[in-house]
Amino acid sequence: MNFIESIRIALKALWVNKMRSVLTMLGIIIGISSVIIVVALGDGTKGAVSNEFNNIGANRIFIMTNYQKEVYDKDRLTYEDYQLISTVFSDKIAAKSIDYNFSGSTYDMSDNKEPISIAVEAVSDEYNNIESFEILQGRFINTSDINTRRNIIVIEEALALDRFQRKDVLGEKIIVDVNGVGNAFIIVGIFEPPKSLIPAMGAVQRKAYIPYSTGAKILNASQFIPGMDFNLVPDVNGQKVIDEIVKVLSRKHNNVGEEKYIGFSAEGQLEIINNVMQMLTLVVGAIASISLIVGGIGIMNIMLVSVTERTREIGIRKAIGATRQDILIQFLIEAVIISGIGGIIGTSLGILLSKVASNLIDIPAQTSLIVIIAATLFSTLVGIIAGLYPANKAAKLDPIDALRYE
Amino acid sequence: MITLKNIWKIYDTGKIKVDALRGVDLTIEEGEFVSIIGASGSGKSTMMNILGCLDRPTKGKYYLHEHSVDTFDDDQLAKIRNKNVGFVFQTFNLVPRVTAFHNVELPLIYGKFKSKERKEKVNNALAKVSLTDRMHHKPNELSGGQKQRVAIARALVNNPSIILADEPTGNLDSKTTIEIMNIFKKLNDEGVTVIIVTHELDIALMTKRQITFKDGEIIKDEAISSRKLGVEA
Repeated sequence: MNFIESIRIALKALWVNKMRSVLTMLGIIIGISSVIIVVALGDGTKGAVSNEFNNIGANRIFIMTNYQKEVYDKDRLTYEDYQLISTVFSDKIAAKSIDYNFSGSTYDMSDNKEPISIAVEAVSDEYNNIESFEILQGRFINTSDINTRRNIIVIEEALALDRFQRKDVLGEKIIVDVNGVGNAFIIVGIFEPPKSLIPAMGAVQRKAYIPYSTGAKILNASQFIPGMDFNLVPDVNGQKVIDEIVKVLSRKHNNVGEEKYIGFSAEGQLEIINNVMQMLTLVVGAIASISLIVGGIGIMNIMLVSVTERTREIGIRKAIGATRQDILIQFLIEAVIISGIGGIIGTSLGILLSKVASNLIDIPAQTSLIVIIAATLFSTLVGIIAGLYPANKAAKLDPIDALRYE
Repeated sequence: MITLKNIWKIYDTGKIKVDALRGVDLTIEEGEFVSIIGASGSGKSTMMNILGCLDRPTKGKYYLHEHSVDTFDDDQLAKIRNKNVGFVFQTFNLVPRVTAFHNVELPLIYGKFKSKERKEKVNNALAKVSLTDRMHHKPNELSGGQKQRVAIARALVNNPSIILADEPTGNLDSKTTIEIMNIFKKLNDEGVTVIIVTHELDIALMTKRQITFKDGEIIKDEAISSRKLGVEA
């Protein structure tokens, strides 16, 4: 018997029991679509996280003193170190900065509102090439600002709105309190921070950048610096550069092998997060695929019923010349059609629902072709496995007994 | 054409042994019209299963044409049934979901005929039983006689060596019985070998040769001189 004929016979058999076929299919539909949704949302989140890291600077590294070790003054990083590393690794560094972080606040003197909290970062003129944000008005910090320790500030647009209730605030003076001391800054630039997937925790802090030299002045900082921030040129291995930098610093501070410095690469962080996401997707996906197994059992159950119901028909077919293989294939194809169609509907439904879910909970969904193909193949496989036992049972029936079956 | 030599069929359930056939010798030539008659338990059904290649003898030799059927495995038997045997059953045994046409087509599908060839053969077979006008009806839309005619068409569609009918008129009224028996007679006149298994003497008398079974043995094998067939019709 040829293949197309088997499919026709199988479709006819399924059509006779429409309701039953659809209900059986439902098990597979639910299983496949839930797997698709989980994987789509998982992949989507992974994609969004990578994107987030691109905003930060994908090839960014950060070097700091490792305070988990005993650190003496002789070990601490200095401005001199920063300049040394910048020179030694100049061919690998695309942008560099020192990074002092501190909190400040500003008051709207006129109407005595709540103070606005500001996360101030004192950075170099290259910092806008390390972290990506868009300058909406004015300019970023320049070398002359740094050299003359000028009191200028680049603020987030939201801060302008909070403080002045308008956007065009270039040239305005703003007073930022740091540790109880007010510092006056002239606003020279307004920027838009990249949209973040990770929601701000707790109180919202507005962001502002000032020259690192100005920051050091405000903080009364000595020659010590908290850390160095670099954006590497593309295709340079971040972890390798970190190791080399740590080596150079250790040698200079005469503390080789004591692990006094530590570096982070965005790449490495991304990898960790991706691994966690992968694991999560896998676990939830595995739970979802349990429903596929249940669907498979449903198919097996209904195929067993079908074989029993059609015992006599199997006898007839055998009497007129159907071989074991003919019967086996006929029932197997029925099972595969149920699971295959279920798989296709489930995949489509999964894609649709993951889009809907993505809109509702604001997590991007990503469905790859591989996932679709894998899901369809897997559902077919479920059909084959579930159909094998009933089909074999049918194929093994003795024609005389089968013909006698009432 | 059919040669049975010392055929035994023994059902061994472990506790009891039943000899359904006890050393049957039988020869049936091509073109014969034979009835196998006997009470229930006489071994005639077992005989039919073996003749129809649904079952293998426990002992003995069975030649169907050149085939030594008793040595065949299940798949070889399936092929023999498909090509050489046409079954007609008391309960018609049509596949209920599909049309008369498709029922008749089934042996050809398993015989791997191409669709065009199948259509031609099915139409011919249905014409032989005068059922061309009903071919797109499903079994539940047909009368008993019509169902049995579909079954006969299915039995003869692949030009088998023998048509094997097991109580073919058992579920039919007397008028339809004559109708069906006339079809068998007509087929036999055209050269088809027909073997009818029955417990009714009336039916047996309509054939040309009557073989009587009792307790798994042939007790009588005689030619029937006066053909009753057609007389009552």
